[in-house]
Amino acid sequence: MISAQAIIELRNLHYTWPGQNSPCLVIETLTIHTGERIFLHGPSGSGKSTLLGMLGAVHTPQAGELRVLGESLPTLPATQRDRFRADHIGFIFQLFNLVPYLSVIDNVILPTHFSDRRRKLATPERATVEAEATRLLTRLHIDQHLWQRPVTTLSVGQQQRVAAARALIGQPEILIADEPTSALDAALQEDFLTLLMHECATAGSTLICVSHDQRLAANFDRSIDLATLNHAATRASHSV
Amino acid sequence: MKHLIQLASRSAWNRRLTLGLTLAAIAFSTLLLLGVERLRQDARENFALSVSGTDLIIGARTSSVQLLLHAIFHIGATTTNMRWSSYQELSTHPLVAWTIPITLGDSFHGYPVLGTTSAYFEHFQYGHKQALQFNTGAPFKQLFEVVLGAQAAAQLQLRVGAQITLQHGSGDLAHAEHADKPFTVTGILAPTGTPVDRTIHIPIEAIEAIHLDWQGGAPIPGVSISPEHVRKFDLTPKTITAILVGLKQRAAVFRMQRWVNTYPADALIGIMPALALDELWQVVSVVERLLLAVSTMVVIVGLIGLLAVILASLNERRRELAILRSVGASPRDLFILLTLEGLGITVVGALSGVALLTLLTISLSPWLQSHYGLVITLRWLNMNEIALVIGIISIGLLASIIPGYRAYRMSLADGLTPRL
Amino acid sequence: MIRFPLLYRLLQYLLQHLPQYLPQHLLQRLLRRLLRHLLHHLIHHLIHHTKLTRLMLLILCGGLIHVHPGVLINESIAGGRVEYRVGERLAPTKKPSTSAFKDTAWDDLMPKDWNPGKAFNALNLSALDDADPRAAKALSQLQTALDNAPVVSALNGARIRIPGFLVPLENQRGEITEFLLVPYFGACVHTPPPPANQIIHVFPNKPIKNDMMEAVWVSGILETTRSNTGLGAAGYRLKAELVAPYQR
Repeated sequence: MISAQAIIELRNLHYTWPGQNSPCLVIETLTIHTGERIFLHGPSGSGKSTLLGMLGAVHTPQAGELRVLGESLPTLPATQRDRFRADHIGFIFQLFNLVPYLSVIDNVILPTHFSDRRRKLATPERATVEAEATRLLTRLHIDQHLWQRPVTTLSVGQQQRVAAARALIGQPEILIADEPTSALDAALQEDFLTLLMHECATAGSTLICVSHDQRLAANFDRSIDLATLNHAATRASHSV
Repeated sequence: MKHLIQLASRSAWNRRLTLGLTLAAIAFSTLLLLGVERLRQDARENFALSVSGTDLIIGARTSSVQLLLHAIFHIGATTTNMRWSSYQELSTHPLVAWTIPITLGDSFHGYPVLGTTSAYFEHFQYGHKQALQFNTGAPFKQLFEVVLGAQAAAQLQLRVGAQITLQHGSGDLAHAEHADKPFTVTGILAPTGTPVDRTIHIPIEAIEAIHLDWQGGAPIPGVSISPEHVRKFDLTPKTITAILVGLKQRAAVFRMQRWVNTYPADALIGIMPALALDELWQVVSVVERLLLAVSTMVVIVGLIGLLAVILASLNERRRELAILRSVGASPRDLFILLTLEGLGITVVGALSGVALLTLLTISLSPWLQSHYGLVITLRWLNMNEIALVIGIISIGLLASIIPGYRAYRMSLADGLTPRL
Repeated sequence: MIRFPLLYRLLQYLLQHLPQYLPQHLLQRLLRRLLRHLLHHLIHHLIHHTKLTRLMLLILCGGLIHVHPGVLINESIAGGRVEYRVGERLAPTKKPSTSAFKDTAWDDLMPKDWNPGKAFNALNLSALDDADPRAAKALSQLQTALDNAPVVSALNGARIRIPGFLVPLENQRGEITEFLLVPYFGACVHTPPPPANQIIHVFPNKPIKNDMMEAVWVSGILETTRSNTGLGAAGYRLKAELVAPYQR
């Protein structure tokens, strides 16, 4: 369900890595609405990871506006940005998503340690966070006998699904996935995306997925080409 | 904070092999430091408790420390003795309340033999002005009778009524024995925790008696004087090793000391036991401080090892730190996490060292007591030792801050996408 | 540091007086370090916007400064060992005693009319030959007079406070339970002993720690004792209620 309300708004954003001369990201405008499923694609070097870091409140732009959920992120002090990320954003990476010395369940409940909001949402009617974790894991087709296992014994596909459960616990408003299917077999990629989107829809979360694989674009509501969006990238490619 | 502690302990448990080795290093270095400190203190206490209520110890002129060590602790040997006539004049001095003459030189299975009079059992005090007590039996009255210290009796398994023969000279070497003049045990003293426990006490005339037919350390060939006949000779000693003196007025000790030091008929020295002991500690304190410095250095080496292990692991953990950041950990949380790991290992290591110290005390103290007369008591850590443990933990904390800080900076720089 | 003079003075006072109540100098050093740590932390926390980076650097600097103890707080304040010369006497304090004990000088312990040197001074030394036995005899007579020095019986029961040098008599477990108090340093070893009315036999009501307490203030009730030695000499005893280190 896409609402008309903008959940992410970018305007005239500039970001330069410290120590670099030319900016890495120059974006005029970008608006994402609540409940949308966005596919961000672009070649390597087009600033995908930087933009994700920007949206994830990790990096602060040197110039421009960045509003997420109504909050202007650049104006927040560092501790509040960390709390914002903990409360409202879930992450899925391409590889090595999970903390190796924790069990599957412990990995899934990690975000509830750092966010009171997500812990409360994960424990309705005085249930435990473990119960919610097991519920999500079941819906993501992770068998019960795997729950207490160390994560290093799982296959890549299983690990990605556990990562998705962790990103979803406590119903964060935004889900950011950086190449989530790139390490999976072709057969599993579609299944994973379907599962993920289904859960996002249930939770009402906005999904932003970054990938270089154009074939996945069909599953999403909107497809954004970062190479055109990011003027720094187009400039760079034109100047070559 | 609680979940950070949980994360830190899980993470440490995951690397328990390497961290366990550094923990062992810290535990042993703590044991070394605490052990050295405790031995030092117990040795001092033991020494200080060995003599009490004695105003002066008088002997042939030598260094005060040497006289103290020989007369009270039976360590070392005197080069010369003092005259019996000096003792006689001294015991009639108006300032003197009591005197105990003593002579050393013989031994019995490594235990020193002390020749003295009954005044020893009346006036000798130790600890906090405690007098000697008898466990069984009574002081000697006859010539060839002996009173044993508690430990000598226990180790040699001798009881009242047993017979022993003494050996000439001190030390463990098999010396010529005074085999023809056996002694009967008449009494065994109660334990004192002082060198008295390891001493064999015989009447001072008996020393003369057993050496009557000896010359220069060996029996005169062809001459043998039986125990019954010795009493026909004059058994008054010509020389003795030292005298323990108690004064009627303790404040008069300086006067008495001057009288002894300027005594014209004999080369004497009078020492105040407490001051001589202080002198001894001054000499020993240099070594003590050196030992303490070395032990501290060892602890620091152990902590540097811990630091190296944690820092080395940091590089592989960049991905893990990025994941933690993505689920909402702030760089400050990561700083706390890494610091907690180092601090936790230090604390557990230090406490293990304390546990090891207790174990070692329990197992070694009987051996130390029987071989060295050193009494190490099992007790809680005193203020000084607790300060040492706190010192170790705080240095560990300071050291752990370094990887914590590195993790903090790394996570800031890496963000969510570390350069692996 | 100047901004918080009260805090600094409080810490200075603590560091000055804490050591005497602690068992070992090692503990003193460690506590000193901890206090300095606290000082660092306090002051720099009160300054705004202390970023974590700066705080870390400051704590580490504080840790390094411990290697140079003299930098921040003067070492001598915290009571290091003071060296005395043989024969040296203690100067009377500038601050009068505020307690119930009366400040007493060693001269007060000698009767005013006692003059042991009278016979000695009457001797005309220039009229004697070298190694004249009369000179030696006069000297030994002087010594005997000093040995039999009378006490001031009026001081029996007086509550006094007097500084002096400590000569231990009973020293158990590092605690002194009985000692002699003498007016000058080295009275036991090198110089001739003090006269009998310049030695006090002190019984502290609590055992005192042995460390570094050579010169002390003793406060208590003085007693004069009758001699039973037959030599006619008496002496002073004191039940000490307070024994404190003497600060220059």
